[in-house]
Amino acid sequence: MAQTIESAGPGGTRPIGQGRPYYGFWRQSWRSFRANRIGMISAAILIFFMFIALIAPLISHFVTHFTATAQDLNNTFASPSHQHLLGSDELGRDTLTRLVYGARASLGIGFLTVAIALTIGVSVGLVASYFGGIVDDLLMRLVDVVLATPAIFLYILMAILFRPSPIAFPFIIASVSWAPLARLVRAEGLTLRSREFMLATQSIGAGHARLILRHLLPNSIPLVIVAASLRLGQVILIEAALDYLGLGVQPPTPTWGNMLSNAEIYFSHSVWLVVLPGIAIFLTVIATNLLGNALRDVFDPWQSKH
Amino acid sequence: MIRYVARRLLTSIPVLFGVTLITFTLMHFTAGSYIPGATGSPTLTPADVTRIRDNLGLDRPLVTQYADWVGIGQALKSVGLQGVLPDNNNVEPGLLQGDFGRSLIDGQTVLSAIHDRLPNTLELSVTGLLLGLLIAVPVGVLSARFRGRWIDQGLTILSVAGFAIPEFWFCLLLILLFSVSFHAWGLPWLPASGATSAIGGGGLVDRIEHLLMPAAVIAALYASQWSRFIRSSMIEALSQDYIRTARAKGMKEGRVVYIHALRNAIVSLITLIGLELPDLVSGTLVVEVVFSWPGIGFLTYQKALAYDYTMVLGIVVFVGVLVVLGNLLADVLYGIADPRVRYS
Repeated sequence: MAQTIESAGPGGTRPIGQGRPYYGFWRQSWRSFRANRIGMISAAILIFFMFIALIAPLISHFVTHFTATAQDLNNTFASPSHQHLLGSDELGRDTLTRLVYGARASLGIGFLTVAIALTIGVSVGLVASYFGGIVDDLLMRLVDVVLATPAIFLYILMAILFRPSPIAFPFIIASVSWAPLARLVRAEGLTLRSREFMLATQSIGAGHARLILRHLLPNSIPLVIVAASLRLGQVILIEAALDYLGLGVQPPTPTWGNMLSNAEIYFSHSVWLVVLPGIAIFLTVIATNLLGNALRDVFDPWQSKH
Repeated sequence: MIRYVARRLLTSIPVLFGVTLITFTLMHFTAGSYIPGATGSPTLTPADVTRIRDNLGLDRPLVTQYADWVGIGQALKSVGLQGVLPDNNNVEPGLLQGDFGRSLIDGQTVLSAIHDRLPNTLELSVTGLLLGLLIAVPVGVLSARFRGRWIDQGLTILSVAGFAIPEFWFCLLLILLFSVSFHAWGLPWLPASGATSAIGGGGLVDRIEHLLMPAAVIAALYASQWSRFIRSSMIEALSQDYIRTARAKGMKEGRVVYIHALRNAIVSLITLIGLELPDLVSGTLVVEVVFSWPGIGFLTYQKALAYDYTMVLGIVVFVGVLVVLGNLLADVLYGIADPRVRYS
């Protein structure tokens, strides 16, 4: 009896056989995601970092009592103590405050980059797979060109060229990292394109825009979510590396990458300065990667159980 | 086969053309207001600026500059068609003439700079790649054989960690341990920068000492990617019918795993390695910078900071050519290794 009540919820009332009720794709996915321990832990870590990033000013005000750029020249290279919970750097700036603001930069830039890359990549991939022919050829050659250019060199060139602000930076990284996404979405689009429902929708008179936006797009969303999650980790790594090299977000603004820029110099006496920002990056990237894998298992239970 | 290679080479021409277009556009933006070595000089008059820019040909029509850079300008001239392009009076050889352009600052050709630095980069990346394979193959095979057991889980955690660790931070940690701490503890320590010691360096032991840490970082990256890959292709290979046949006729398990399954699992790895070929030149940039390793990546980084953009773009195009050739090579190798693949 409970079954019939549950299956009458939103998202479909179609019972499969006589056994389990049919929940709808998203609800079913959520259920199997909830059962995925690694996925849930990763999501929790990510959400924790995002929360920290959001309340950075509050932490700075109520917990550490320092702003991210406030110098405390009497207390340089302080060890973790009551005054500086995670120690301080060469100008006496509070490490915890800077880490918390660094989360803002890393995650903010990461999410923005992935959003831009997804917008371009998904549009190009869907349009290429939907129209095929010359449109497909041209767009895919464009993808080939972007993929044939060594990304790290392009980032460096553009970073020098545009002197990236935290807003310009995502555009620089996204201008390259959309290409693999486009290829992925195109492949998915080609498979979807040949399915009967596309033909059926077309035959009742749906236009191109409707077919792409209402039918191709929603059906490729699971794939896109997995790709986005895996890409986020890569983007955070690239961003940190560029910041470290001094080509990314410039110093007074703290990021996990640029906090490590001068770290080598202080090796001998302040190991914490080298270790902490790295751990922050490491944890975030591990969480995004594992989350991506978990989502892939959830959305596509047939593949990759091994 | 030959037709396939020929067709692939032909289709790669427009791709490379596109690479030069992208890089040229970037170069044009950078060069817009730039004069090498003269930024902020107080004695520089506007007339000087015009003269320098004129010498470098930065104020000619865009089409001509592009044609020149690629080398079409000179090619046209050699067949007496220089009038086709406006203001085409340049005699410098371009990309097509084979030296990939010249440095704006010291006039060195890109090709000779690459020639100087490439051996160092390859020393680093090939060592890293081989070490990576040496780790990845046994790790992948072990994981696949003991799938789901603690050894598989442990190795999985390691490879997830290896994949997520920021490259430059890993370098820093190694330096912190093996150079700084070992030095402080009075243990034999490893040098943290360069490819050889400045004084009395260059011997084999000296080179290996310098190579160990950067190569280990690169090897760790490759190993964490490839071990996962070998694991899943081994699992697939082990589930095939010919493996059951081999076991059924009483073959030893070791032979089944290492001869029958591994050979087939390795096939797909070949493609992956082929795709890494261009990375052997460009993928070590961050590691090179951290360790001041005198290779292509470090060179590009320094030249980019010095605004020597013709040099940087020459290198970018050079690596672009390698990417295209590497992809082609990977496909061809794949066909040789696995006769089931048919070229179309």
